[in-house]
Amino acid sequence: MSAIVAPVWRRRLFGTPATGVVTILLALALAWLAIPIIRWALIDATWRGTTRADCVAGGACWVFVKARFGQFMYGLYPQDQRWRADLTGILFVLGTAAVVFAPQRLRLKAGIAALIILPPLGIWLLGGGFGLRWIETREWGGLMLTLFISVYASLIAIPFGILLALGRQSELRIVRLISVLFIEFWRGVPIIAVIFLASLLLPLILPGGIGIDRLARAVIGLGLVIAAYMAEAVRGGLQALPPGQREAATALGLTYWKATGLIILPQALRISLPAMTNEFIALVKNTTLVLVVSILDLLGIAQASLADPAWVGMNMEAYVFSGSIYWLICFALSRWSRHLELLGRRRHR
Amino acid sequence: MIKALTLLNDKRVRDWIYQIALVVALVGLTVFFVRNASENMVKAGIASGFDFLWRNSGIDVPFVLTDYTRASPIIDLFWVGVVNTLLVTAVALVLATALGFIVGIARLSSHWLLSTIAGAYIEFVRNIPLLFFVLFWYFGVIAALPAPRDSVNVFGVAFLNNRGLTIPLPDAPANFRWALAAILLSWLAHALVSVWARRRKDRTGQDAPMLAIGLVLIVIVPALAATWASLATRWDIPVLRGFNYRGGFVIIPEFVALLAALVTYTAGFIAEIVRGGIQAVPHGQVEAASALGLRPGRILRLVTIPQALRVMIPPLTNQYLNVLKNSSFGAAIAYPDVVSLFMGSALNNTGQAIEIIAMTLAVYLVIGLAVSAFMNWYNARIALVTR
Amino acid sequence: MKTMILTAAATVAMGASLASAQQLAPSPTLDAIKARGHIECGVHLGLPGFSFADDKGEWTGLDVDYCKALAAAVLGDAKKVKFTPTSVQQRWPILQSGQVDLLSRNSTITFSRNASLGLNFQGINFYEGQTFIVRKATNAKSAADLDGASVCVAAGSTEEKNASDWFLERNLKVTITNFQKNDDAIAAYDAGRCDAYTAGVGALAGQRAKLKVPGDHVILTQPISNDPQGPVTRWGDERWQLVVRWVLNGTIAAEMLGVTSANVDQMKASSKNSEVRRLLGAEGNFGATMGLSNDWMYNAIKQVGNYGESFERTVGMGSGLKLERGQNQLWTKGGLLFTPPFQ
Repeated sequence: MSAIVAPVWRRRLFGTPATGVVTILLALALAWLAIPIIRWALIDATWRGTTRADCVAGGACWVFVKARFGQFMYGLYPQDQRWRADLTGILFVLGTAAVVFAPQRLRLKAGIAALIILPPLGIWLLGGGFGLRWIETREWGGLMLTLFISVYASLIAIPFGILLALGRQSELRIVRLISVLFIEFWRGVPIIAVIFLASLLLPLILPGGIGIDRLARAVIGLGLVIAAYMAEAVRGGLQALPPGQREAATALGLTYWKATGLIILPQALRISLPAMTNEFIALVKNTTLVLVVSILDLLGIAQASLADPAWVGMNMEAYVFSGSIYWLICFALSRWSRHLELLGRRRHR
Repeated sequence: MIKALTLLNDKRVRDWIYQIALVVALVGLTVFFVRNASENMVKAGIASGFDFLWRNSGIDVPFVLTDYTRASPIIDLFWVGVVNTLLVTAVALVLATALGFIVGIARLSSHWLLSTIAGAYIEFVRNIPLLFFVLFWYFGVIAALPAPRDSVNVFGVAFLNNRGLTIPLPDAPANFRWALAAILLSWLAHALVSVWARRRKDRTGQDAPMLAIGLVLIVIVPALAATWASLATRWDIPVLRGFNYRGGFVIIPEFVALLAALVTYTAGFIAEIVRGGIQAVPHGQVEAASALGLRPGRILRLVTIPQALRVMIPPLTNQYLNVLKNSSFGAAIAYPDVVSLFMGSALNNTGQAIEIIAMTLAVYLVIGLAVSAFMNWYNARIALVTR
Repeated sequence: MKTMILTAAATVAMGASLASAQQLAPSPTLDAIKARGHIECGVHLGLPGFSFADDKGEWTGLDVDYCKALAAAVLGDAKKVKFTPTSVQQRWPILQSGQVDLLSRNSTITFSRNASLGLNFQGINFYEGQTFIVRKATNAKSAADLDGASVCVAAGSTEEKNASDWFLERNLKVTITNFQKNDDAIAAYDAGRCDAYTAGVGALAGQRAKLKVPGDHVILTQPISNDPQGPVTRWGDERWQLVVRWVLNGTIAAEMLGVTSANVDQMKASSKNSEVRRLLGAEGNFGATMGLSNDWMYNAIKQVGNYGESFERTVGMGSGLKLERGQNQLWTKGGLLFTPPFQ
């Protein structure tokens, strides 16, 4: 076995003298970089214990992450109510799975049903009311909040982005102009400024006395920006459709909205799905910016936990742990997006 | 009545009605927001207007390229922020493009280990929020640098420590202005000569010695000008006194950290664009080039990249705009960019949120438009000309 | 006859309602608080001793105690208060836009904040003096030794301007680096980016615990400024401002009059001092004058304690910070803490 495998490896890594030199240099660089990291994160790390005093090995102190795990996941969400966050997550996953794996003819109906039922259900489960204890958004935090912001901001961004993309392709000049201005404005400004803007200006521009929840403001701000990016992703799909599609639909006597809903969008969205997934990844990464308005998402709660005098100096542990979670989520999503892209390409052949 | 109905049946008329309704709704919404804002501000006793821009700022900034001091008006503080934003964006663009090309080409290398490492780098970088990079580089950079007393001495004139890189500064900038003018003139001359040479070649087929001319006009003349300027000027060389080096100019670690974060992060995205662009070039092109006897390096430079660039320019433009917007992450580590100085310090001292946010957003929109315009022009220039 | 009685009754009812309306100016803030059942109090993001949330989200500290006392006075229960953590940048907009009823967060009272930001400062609950924390190895003994140093500070704070003014006045060259949050600034100081970090004496005592090796650092004793701090409200709603101001005064008066959470019942029942009796609602109707119940300060002191008790528990000798009373001692004992009389 190894007799067969070895030559392949040897040819790949040491085929010519030049290849060999490059291999050795790269291997040295890799070792120089990776060995201290592995030593810190695994070999010299402390896994067992309850306080900072247990960490004497000199490596990473994962005890800290263990002690704070609940907060990293749920923020200050009351411990006896955390099942509600879990249940919400499970329902969303099941709902999405049901839509994805539903038989073709039921998929649209299932999708619409999920869109109507899930979002209000999620807010009720997390926030409370109607028999459930009220839990204010200031107690939400951690990974749960990161996911909440991502999902709900994209619930604003996707429909709005589709409308904007249609507006940008519209024959109506003023509609087109307004869509272009809106899209380019939000795409042109930094998200950190938008979140700041949403948290400062929303209370100012509404009639006195109408308060909007702090978290809702951040979600609206992010939703507006991502809508502009989503619009561009959808535009790619719309432009990829041959114009004959709409012409044929119109010739059949379909109105604009019927043609759009039945013929154009189903095809265009399938093409844009990978691009839209990429925008969703960007959104997940950008949720970290809500910490400028003191909303404690996963990174925010990690930073806040660093201020605890009982756990001074845990910066690396907090950042590495929270960073890996972001990485896992985004990596999984980007793999899915690539899978969709390949699927789409295969279908076209 | 019937006429009105037939009018309604006319698609053009209906379209206009929709559009007018949309405009009326938007204008109404805007008026509603503005009225609420002004009412709320009067009620809350918040001042408004742009008078505050000419008030004394009183804010110290550790990294200033203009002649701003704490006695300058707030408008000057705004310009300091804009200049710092532009500076870090410009340098990051160049370095990120370079690193992105290297990684992207390495990803396509036939060397298995090299392309795997490049792939791992891309997957790692693209899936982590930029804020992590900024924090990692900042605390990493500071931790790696020595305290001022143990500074790294660069030829006795520049000193590197955890307060930044202190470099000598000319006492009088006059000579450098002349040198800069000379350099720009010589570059302009080179551009003109190369246009002339190309025209002549098209007309007569004669080659001009462009390599030699380029060497003289692009490298030697500017080098001479810079050498003359630096020799003819007295330099303020930093010396260690008390806590830190005095004199000279300090390149602060915040700048270096933000730059490193923007470059390493953006390079991951540019590498993917480069890979996509190169893969979009039909393989026949490469085969034809190697059949002509070109070596792999020259094929890459002369055949592949020029064609790949055409595919790459639009997504590259997006990445460049992202770098501009992402430079605002500097606010997290005290890099004095326009967000941190103007939307941070100045907003706190004046409390005029609406004016300050509007000005800050305008900065990004204007610079962004300029970058897009330049990239569109460049794209048009390199576009395939079919004769 | 019937009509006459009805008319008379109506007149009496009208007179009564007019009388009460004349006594009580409308207070939208108080109405909103009573309707929602809790006070919204803006505090510092996390400053041990002043406002700090533990890992269960329980807030403690001097500034937090004030809001608890306010909740006890207004709603009869010190637990009916919710805290919104605010950064240096957000604090004014959050108050101005009505997201919190007041700020109780170490923010210095200054002329320009009072005059041009639409803010009112309702008294002083902590006399802070700005100073520096430096590494012991630098051998700096006072701020004047910091010539040439780099100083980390939170952007937009009074500390930023104070330090800059103070060094400029003395012709000392100091580089000031502005961070968005106090925690960022102190983390950068700890990492070696700066020679000093500047904040108030009290704040530094709390933040020192966030350093990796607190023992390697020393807080310079000589303050360079005076930074009086206290609860802040926005302009308008005078009756709410009255409540905020006099609850603070009440906690100080209670200490001066010797009323503590332990003896408040006994004092209310048997004290002969009429100022004590007025304070605790045994005499007069001070609470009702502001639209509160008459045992407003009784509740506050019973549930939270007087100023001195709160000080000892949060920042004084009974806490980890071990701050001396100093300027924050009563004026009768050589400090600056003062309250107008309850008459």
